[in-house]
Amino acid sequence: MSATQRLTGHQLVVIFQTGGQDYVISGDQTSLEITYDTNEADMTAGSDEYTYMKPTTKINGATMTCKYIGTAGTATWGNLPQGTEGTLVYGPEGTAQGKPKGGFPCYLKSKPFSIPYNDSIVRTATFSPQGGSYGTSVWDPDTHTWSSS
Amino acid sequence: MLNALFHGVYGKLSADTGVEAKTTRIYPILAPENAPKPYILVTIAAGGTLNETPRDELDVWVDVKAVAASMPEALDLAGLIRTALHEQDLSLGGSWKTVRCQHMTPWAFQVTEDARQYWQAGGTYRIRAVVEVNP
Repeated sequence: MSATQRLTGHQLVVIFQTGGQDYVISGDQTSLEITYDTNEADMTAGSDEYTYMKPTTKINGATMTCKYIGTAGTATWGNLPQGTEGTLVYGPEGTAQGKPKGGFPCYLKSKPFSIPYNDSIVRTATFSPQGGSYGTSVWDPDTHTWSSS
Repeated sequence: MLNALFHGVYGKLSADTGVEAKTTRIYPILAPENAPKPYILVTIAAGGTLNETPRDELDVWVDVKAVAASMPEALDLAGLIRTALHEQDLSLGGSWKTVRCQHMTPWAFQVTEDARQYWQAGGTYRIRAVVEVNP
């Protein structure tokens, strides 16, 4: 790995796919937080000296923070009420063929606002996982890339 | 971007009847030599491009000051400038839209140059703007 390989998030594209439609929800984001986590079971026996944790199911999640754009966001956010089920896909370097691709089936769990008096109104959208299959509907940007289609 | 800011401030001040009754001379940065007083100068004080989201966004502090023959006249014009700009929607031109224009800091001082006195009063205005690409 070259020490000169550094990226910022300015090329990020985030798409929420639902109902046969692709909604590009990036464009006003300040951050996208992705979690690839694993649940675990405590397998420690009574005679063990150290705790032994066994990985069980994997759990993905995402939280996107973006600035609120008022009625200009109606065509996108207006079609994504909380509880909407679909697939979140994202490209840290855009969606060109060969670039890293991440994503997973999920639903839009929450999309609260923060409305300070003298600062930008901010929306935080949180996505909760809905299963999936690695490489088929769950993509890891460390492994998977965008195809030409 | 700078054009948009000056355009917005100039447009608001020149359309304000209170300001216009005192002066129509509004200049960016520097007044012409021997410009009659009072006049208004607009300069960029601080701030810049936010670079917080993919959308182009500004948070710029602009100094707007009255230069007059006496301090009372300068203070009077500074007050009119504040009325014209504070919490007003500036028409910036192009695709730039005002998010907010707020008066921040008042100030007043006097300068003597070549035995001529320049009484100055004004304020710093915070102008936040964004490029609006959606209808």
